[in-house]
Amino acid sequence: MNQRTQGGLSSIGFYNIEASIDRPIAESYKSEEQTRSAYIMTSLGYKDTYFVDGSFRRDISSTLPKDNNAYNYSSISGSFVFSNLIESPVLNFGKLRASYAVAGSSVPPYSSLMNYEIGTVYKGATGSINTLFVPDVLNNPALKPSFANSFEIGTDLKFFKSRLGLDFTYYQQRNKDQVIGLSSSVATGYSSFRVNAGDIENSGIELSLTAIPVQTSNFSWTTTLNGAKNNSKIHELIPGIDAYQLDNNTYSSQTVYLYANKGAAFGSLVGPGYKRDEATGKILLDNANLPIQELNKDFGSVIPEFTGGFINSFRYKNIDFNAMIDFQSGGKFFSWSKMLAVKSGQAAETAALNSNGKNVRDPLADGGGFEINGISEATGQEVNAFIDARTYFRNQIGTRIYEEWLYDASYIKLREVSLGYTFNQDQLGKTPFKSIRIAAIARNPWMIWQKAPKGIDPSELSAGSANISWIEKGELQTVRSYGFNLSVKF
Amino acid sequence: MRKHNIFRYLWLAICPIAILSSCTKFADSYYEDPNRPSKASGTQLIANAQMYLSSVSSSAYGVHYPQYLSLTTYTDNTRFIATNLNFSTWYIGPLMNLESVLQNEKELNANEGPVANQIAVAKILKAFFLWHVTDRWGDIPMSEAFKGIDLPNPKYDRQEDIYNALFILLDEANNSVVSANGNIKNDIIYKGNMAQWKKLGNSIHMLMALRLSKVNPEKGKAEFIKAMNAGIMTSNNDNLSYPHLAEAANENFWYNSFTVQKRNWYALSEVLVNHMLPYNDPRLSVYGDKNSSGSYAGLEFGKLVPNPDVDIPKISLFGSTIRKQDSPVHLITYPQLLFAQAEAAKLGWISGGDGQAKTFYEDAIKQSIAQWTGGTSNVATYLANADITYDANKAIEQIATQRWIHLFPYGYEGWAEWRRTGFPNLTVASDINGGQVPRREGYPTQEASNNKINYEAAVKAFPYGGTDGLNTRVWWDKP
Repeated sequence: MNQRTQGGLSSIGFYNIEASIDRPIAESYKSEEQTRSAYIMTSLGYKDTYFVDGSFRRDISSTLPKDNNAYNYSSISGSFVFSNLIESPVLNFGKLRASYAVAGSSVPPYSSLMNYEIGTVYKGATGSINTLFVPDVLNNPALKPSFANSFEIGTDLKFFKSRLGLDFTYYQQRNKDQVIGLSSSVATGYSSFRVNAGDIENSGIELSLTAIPVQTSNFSWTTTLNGAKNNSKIHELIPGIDAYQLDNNTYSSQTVYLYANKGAAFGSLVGPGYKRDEATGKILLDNANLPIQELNKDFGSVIPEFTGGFINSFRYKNIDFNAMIDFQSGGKFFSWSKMLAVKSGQAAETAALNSNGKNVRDPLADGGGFEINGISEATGQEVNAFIDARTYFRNQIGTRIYEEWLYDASYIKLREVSLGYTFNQDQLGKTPFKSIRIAAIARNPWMIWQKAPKGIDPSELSAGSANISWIEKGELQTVRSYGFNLSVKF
Repeated sequence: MRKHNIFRYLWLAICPIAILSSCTKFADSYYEDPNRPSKASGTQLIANAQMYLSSVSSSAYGVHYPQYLSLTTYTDNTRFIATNLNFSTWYIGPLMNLESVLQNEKELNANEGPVANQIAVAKILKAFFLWHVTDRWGDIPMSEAFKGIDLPNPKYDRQEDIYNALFILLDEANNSVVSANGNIKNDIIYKGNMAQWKKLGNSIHMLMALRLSKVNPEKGKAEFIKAMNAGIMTSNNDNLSYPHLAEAANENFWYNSFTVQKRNWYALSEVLVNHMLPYNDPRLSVYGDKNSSGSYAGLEFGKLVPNPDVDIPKISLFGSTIRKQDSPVHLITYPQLLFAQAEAAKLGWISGGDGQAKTFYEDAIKQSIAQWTGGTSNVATYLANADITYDANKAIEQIATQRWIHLFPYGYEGWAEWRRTGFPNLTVASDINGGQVPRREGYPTQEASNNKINYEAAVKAFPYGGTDGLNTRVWWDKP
């Protein structure tokens, strides 16, 4: 239920819906759904070496079409601690695990029903005219439940009395008939269709290596290196549509899209860029020597090649020191804030000196202007010319050339460092405390290396409405914080 | 023994599943959305489509192509930075509502007025909106459009085919109107008056026919005469104007821009004021406000470096009498039909030659002044200006220029007629859009992904070549 006044209040200080000057807004919303489920699971173990878990579930959902509203799904997983069967001085623990699970899910309430929407009321002189409209999203009376089929296989190994450990996992998830809002050609009369998207795959590996290279009574060093790589791919959407728009961002009538196209890498950025000379790759210029825009250029994938972390902990007597490093390789992103900094003339390059030693903002007649190099589209000749800086930065590259604001998100970052001292029971004597640890902590102390220019933080990108990071749009800067931590155990 | 136990538990679990498999029925209330109606009233769908009418004119882009308005503050739209615009408003908005009426004819309720008349009004409005869309983008989806997921990739129809299909649609509407007890309900525009709807359909038909003057004058002439004889508007009372209301939900776009958002952005262009001020055009005081020194002045079009603090006091902002909260927005008007007939007489499409053309021309100006100012007392003085008086040697230019003035601020229509006639002379600086006044709007960029094959085919089939952008000509805009 939602009511509010419109056009202001008819009497100052009288806060009531009835005091609305124009027809007040009054809306109510109700949503009901019901799911009936039955579930069985079993967990079996044999000799602490072989383990099998299984489950089966049946759901009946009120939100699915009447004649197709029940669905079953199940899972099975097993593990095998093979180290129990072998005697090895090197390997002290070894486990192999595998699982296959199907998870079924229903659809949002009423999404399989065809309905109209209530529109604005026109309060004419001869009476009110109520209006209706066809919704922008096309519901689907043939919706089916969706199933996520995931397969995972992995191993956990521990060597040398657990001084060295290795965990490895490979996973593959295939989402069959996943219910998505698939943006459509608006000429269909709808902006998107609610569909069961055929087959979307998500797969990858995760690797973690842990070692304790030094361990004495006074000193120990523990180190962990982990990495992950994820791939997503669309095998099938719906017949006739191969492009799945994950997200988009429009500013000043220019739009950059994030697409997942059938058969191509997931998360490709598409937007306006330079029109280039095919032979040389140089940018093409118009008669005013301004870059020419080409729409719908594929800028590449936002998906990183791999991500990971490197954690080290040192302990000497009562003192401990920990450092955590994050890293990422590859993956593009679009920096909106960099573009706006240039467009609005706040970026340093908009007030740099040109090859004449003049500020680019100075009039062309005085030797100012931005020096541009490219190929004239009209003549095919190479051009080197000075152009008005405002036209270039504000109206051209800061508005229409998104290609200029793409960066590689690779980075290595020291995420957290802490130095602590622990008072043990001997020192604490008869106090009621078991132990007290006091530590100094620094978070985000150092971006060790990043490929993107300084001032843009590739480790804190935004995902917009998609579930992968692809855009930087003036997020609150990461805060470097220093602090103390006191932990007391009783 | 152990195994035995497991089976015992399994049966315990399987029992409820067996019971459940027969329980797939839910109460009917789960299959009715309590928030949205499943049945629609045809006239309510039509009324919602009517609400989009004012945006055909009230546009932050359209007003700049024929250079009616300059911008004081953010000048991007007068420098044509946006080359590709989205037609989604029209397809998923009014056109889909009208399609829903046309595709569900059997479900229309005769208590809201004769079904034939509901269909006729839906057809007239469909023709009007599609005409608007095709004149902006050229070839557009029509024959395979509005089919939802059944046709996810609608092809682009050639503009010539669209014009022919719309002529037929308008003929059908004209022929099917029932006069006796014919009023329909929920009509924002003509309060149900079908005689006026019929005139509107034929008036749209006649103006569309004139668009063919360069590309196919024979067809244009035939359709023009047919529509004229079927009965067009006979006074300003028949005008298609959207009646905005003095309330936030239905207010005028320019009121919202100036008064609600406090944006003093839009000013009369220099070229417009130059065509009005020297002749004491009585419409000027309506179109624009006086500047701080009490006179009228236009603002340079497409300034690279806007300077609002200095410029605004010196120039005429968009007129305050036509940007009140309830100021109507004029679309198809009686004076425009008179200008069309003046041109048709001059072209020899209709009889009477220059004598008839002069009569229509003078009447058009008179009705235009009446529409904008509410009076006609200063018409004779205005017509007496040497440049305004009908001159057979430059009649087309005079008619086109006067029509351009009359159509203010309906930019998309003024722009279409400028593209067709080339009058008045409009130019832009060399660093704006390569020094060219736009001749078309680029397709929505999504189409290159969502409807790739058909989009690429449409671009390849541009009637006079070119790339997808502002500088390619549509079919009727024959070079």
